[in-house]
Amino acid sequence: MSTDTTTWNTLFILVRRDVLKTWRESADLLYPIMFFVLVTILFPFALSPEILVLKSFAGGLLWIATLLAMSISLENLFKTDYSTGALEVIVLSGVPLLLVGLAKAIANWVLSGLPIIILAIPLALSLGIDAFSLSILLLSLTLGSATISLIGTAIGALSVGLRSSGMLVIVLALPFYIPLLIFGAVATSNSQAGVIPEAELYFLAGLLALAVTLTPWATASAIRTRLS
Amino acid sequence: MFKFLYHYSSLRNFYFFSEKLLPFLLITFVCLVTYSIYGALISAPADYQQGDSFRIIYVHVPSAWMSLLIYMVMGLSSVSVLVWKIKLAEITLSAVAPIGAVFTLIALVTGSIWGKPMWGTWWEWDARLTSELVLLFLYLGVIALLNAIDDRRTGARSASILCLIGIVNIPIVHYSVEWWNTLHQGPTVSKFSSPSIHIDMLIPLLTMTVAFMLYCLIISLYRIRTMILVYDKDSQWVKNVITDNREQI
Amino acid sequence: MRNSLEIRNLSVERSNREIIKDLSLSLTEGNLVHLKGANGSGKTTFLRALAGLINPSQGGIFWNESNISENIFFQSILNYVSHNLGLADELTALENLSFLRSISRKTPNKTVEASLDIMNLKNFQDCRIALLSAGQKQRASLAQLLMFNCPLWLLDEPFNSLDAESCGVVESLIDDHMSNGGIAIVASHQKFQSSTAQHVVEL
Repeated sequence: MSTDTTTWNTLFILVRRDVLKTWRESADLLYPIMFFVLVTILFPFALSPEILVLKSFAGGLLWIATLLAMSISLENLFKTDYSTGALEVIVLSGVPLLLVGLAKAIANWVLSGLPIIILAIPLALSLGIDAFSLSILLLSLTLGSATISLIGTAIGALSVGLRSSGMLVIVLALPFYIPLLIFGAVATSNSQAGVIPEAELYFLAGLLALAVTLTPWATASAIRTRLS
Repeated sequence: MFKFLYHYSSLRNFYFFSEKLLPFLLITFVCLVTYSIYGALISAPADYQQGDSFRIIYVHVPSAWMSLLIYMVMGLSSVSVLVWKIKLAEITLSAVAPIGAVFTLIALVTGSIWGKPMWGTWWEWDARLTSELVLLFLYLGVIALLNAIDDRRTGARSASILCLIGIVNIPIVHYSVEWWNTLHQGPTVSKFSSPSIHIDMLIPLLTMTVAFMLYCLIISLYRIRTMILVYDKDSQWVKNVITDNREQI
Repeated sequence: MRNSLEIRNLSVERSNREIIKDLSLSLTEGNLVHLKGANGSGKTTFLRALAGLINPSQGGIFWNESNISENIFFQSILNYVSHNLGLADELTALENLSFLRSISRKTPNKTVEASLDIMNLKNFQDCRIALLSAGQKQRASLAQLLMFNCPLWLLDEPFNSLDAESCGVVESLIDDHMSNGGIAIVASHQKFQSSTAQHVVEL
């Protein structure tokens, strides 16, 4: 029992540190979110200001903006900890690397996933999404963004400290997001047609469960590899 | 069994073992490919719907299979790299990745060429072609990561981790793309929709696939052998090999 | 049993180049090693291998006769202070060290405040690391040595950017550690005072 509480406690401390660190360095926090809003408001200029046109694309469009914005937030996840040597100190503290990997993913979700989901509400409404579809969109974004954070953390750990790692991490991560994009966007468009997209949401939840169990291992061994 | 594996996973032993193996592989490959080309272009009858244009499957289908097979080989190498730290697996991983990428590209290009008479367009968002396209990017990701890291051992380990994430994702990508495809377009004309392919068409396809496998194996062995020489360049046996070759010339 | 660190025929490869070749060394309690060498001679690589961060290409490192690569608790007996410092710029010295103390599996020793006080950083403990001078950062990083009770110290250029007074503090820290039966390996390009004899290893 006591080991359980220390594990949760350690996880909490790790997450809190990362959140505090990024909170102080507000650029890392703000740029991905600004990027998300900017990408979304570009679409009406490209497609049409007609709400009927925008409405049919709204789900996919917000999903693409989320994928891109969360991908650019990945670079900062390990960058400063790697360059200052803090990552090395954390590894040498003896804390299980699985926890470090999981904590980084949670911190990434709190810092970029959560604000994006919140901002998606006014943006979706401005694109003409109705209340029911909005709730489905938010649910799919919540499940999907958590998976994105988990996969992205592993990829971010793999590419930290490499040449042009900012672009590399995006190029490496995006192919893995395709299933999420498919299920997320389809869930939203189905809900707009009045169907409750149970299957799609179950798939998203299943992918999240898979990511929670597998990606911390990948992140842990990526951290160890990058430090060696 | 493990002693056997250990013996052949040493770089030096593998180098000399593969040297003996290569001539046999080459002869078998030449025989098989000659027969398959004859079977594919001459003895197989023209398709009653597609005419002669169907014959591109003798390149397209084996390439698509190779693209998956090579990724599986990379997956196995990755496990060996991460769990047993086998040097030969590290070399294999970086040696076969570009080969896999090229076969994926061939599958895509031939699929697109085949699509022109079949669908009337060069590119159709067909499930198979689309997941093949995603696979190409998984290959390019592994190659990019290998190139970005100077230290070959950490490079191979990093690429192994990425490759294993990819292995888990390939079926997910494949089935989600297929599901997306049926959802948006209704069932498309699958390339294997004809349930009974004529036996004269099938046999050359199978032999051609085996020929492709042999080709991949031969090319991989050449690449691995060259990389072994670079890897072990400071050791005495490599110096001996190089001076021997020089004397023969 | 007396603690012992044994390095047997250690070779370490970095970027396809053998940096450390066939190095053997045997240390027990109270042994202090001064690691010397030109820039790029492999001092940091050697210390990182000892810390278990880099896998040796040949040979091994044994703590109390057990290979460190097979001992997952090895990290809890060593204190490694790298020249990279390892402190997050955005956090204060106090936050950085409290974080480390709370997640670490090493045996705790002094409190964070007491450690910072000994390193003469009491008045700066709430400053962000980014705002501290190079010497102050170095001292904040060295405060890790006081927070934990580790028998093995690996110090990478601990006297970097320190003034004479702070150098004296660090030297006395090393002396205390040695008299308590610790083992220390100090990579430094400059000479330093110590009451115990220094084994000099030139890379």
